[in-house]
Amino acid sequence: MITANLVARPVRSLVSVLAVALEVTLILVVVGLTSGIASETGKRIEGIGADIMLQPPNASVFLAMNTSSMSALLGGKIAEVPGVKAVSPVLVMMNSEGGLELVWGIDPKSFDDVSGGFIWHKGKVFSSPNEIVIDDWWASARKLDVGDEVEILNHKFKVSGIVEHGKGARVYLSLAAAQEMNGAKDRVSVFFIKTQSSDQIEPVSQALGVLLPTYPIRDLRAYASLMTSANLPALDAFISTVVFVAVCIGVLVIFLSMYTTITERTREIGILRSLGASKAFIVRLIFMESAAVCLLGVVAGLGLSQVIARSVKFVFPTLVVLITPDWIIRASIFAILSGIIGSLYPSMKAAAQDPIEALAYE
Amino acid sequence: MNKNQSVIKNGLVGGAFEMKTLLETIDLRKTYRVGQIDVEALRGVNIRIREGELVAIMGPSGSGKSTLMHLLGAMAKPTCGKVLIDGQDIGEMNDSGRTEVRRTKLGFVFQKFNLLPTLTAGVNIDVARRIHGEALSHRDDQHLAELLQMLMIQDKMDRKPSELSGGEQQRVAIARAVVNRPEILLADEPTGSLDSKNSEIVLNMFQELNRKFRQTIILVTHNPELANYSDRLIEMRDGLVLHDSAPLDWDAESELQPASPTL
Repeated sequence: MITANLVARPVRSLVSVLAVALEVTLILVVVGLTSGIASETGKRIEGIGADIMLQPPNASVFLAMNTSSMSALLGGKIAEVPGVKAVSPVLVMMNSEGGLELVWGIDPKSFDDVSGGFIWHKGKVFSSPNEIVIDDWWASARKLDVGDEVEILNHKFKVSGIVEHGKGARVYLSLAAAQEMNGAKDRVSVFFIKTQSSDQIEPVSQALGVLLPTYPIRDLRAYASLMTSANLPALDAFISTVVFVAVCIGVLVIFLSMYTTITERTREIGILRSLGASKAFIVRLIFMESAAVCLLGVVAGLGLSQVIARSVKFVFPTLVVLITPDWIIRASIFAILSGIIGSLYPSMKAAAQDPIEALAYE
Repeated sequence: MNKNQSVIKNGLVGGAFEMKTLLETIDLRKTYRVGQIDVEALRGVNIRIREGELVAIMGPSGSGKSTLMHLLGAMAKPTCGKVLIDGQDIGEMNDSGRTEVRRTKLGFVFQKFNLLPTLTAGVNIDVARRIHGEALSHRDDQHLAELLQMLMIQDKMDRKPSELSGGEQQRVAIARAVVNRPEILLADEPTGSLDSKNSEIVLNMFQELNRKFRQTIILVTHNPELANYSDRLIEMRDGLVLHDSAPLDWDAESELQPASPTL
């Protein structure tokens, strides 16, 4: 009966299913995009191969959000801590031309000591302040090759080399050039520290805590797990807003669909009531139709989200849409919930219809 | 006395049927409010329908027969008076109670068939069985098969109402109305949308249902020809029973009340 009713009004059923699919897609893609960017950033930081990250006091775990810096001279003190194998200072900058992207000023020698070195696809490390090294994803996204010129941070740079992605930033230039551009001579944003062995991570962290008590010291083995919306309140609020708007869309569409359905089917409801269908039966019928629309919408939404995620990856190779099982479950629950809320009033109205008046309805 | 009355009467004489009162109205009144005016649709109706009767309630437009049908069908509450179905006063019941009565004791056939247009004939009948709610047994399936055969629609079950003729639709509606073996079948102008040939077929079906399954049937109509197919004719006018052709020997039974007030 439910299937027959949905098939009997194909356009409305299709529009309702698409609206729920849109709701699910909106949630999954927006959350997936923000989570994907955060997670991918976390993995890139982990991919450096450093064991510990030391930041200035009050710095955020999100490197892109840091405006504070610290003296580069601290690197020498850190290197003296027993168990430390290498220390690499990095100045983090944010490029907003052609999309947001982290640009790191690095010292190639110490960065190699900490990270084990880049995997080179083409070219070589920068040899002048006007040269940059980029990762393969960024090169692909910007269609750049070695020798090409690119403008970032209001400067023109020449690409000196292309490396495998996954080591912190997508764009690297010399630390001195970065400090010069920022007017931050001898200042850095973060130190990446490599210990002599993994069992040294804990003692080195403790020693650094004593040496620099106000400086956040993070164990990079768990860095990716810190890249969540919970650590970025603005992101959490943004996601909540998107979810709220998406659920509102779902509620309104289901409400409209079910309301027009019961108006059109007044006579049918009268027939069912005359046959002895209880109010609960009518409510259940409307709810089940709504649930069927929502379930179809969820399936369509999951499919559409995957298509969009792949399209985003194809068009913007540096972006990652991370669709996780827990958000699939949440989006499905939100869709079903909007179906229940949206069909609540129409189902009550349908059940309350007087059978005689309903049968007389033309 | 027509042919069918004699069938039932013969049954009575032979002791085959035990006639019990299934439905009774006592001083039944219904007043509608239309704008600022109260309209008395029923002004004190007393009738008694016995098990196995095929009764026609006739009257012109505005006589109150449709209102009476709604009250007998537990679809509305009387303004005052009683409607007793199997001894239960449905006027005292709430909506849930009246719904229960419709589900378990009554079957409806309407002038406009009122089949669910998106469903096939088979599913239309199945919906009534599902609403009835009780687990379906092999015996129920047999009963349905017998009904469909009798109504000559067993090969129409996969068709939607729009693919059936008016007569076929009405026979599907009859099957839906009686599939759960209701105690009373109420039919409101069941031939009102049919041509004479299909009307005759449908009326013969009612007679056969009444004869074969001892189905109590109440037909509401303004068509005088229906009287020829019924055992008993109740004529209404201006919200009152004008004439009741209940056989005298039935009225003579000790438990019977006098017939309703007449004009």
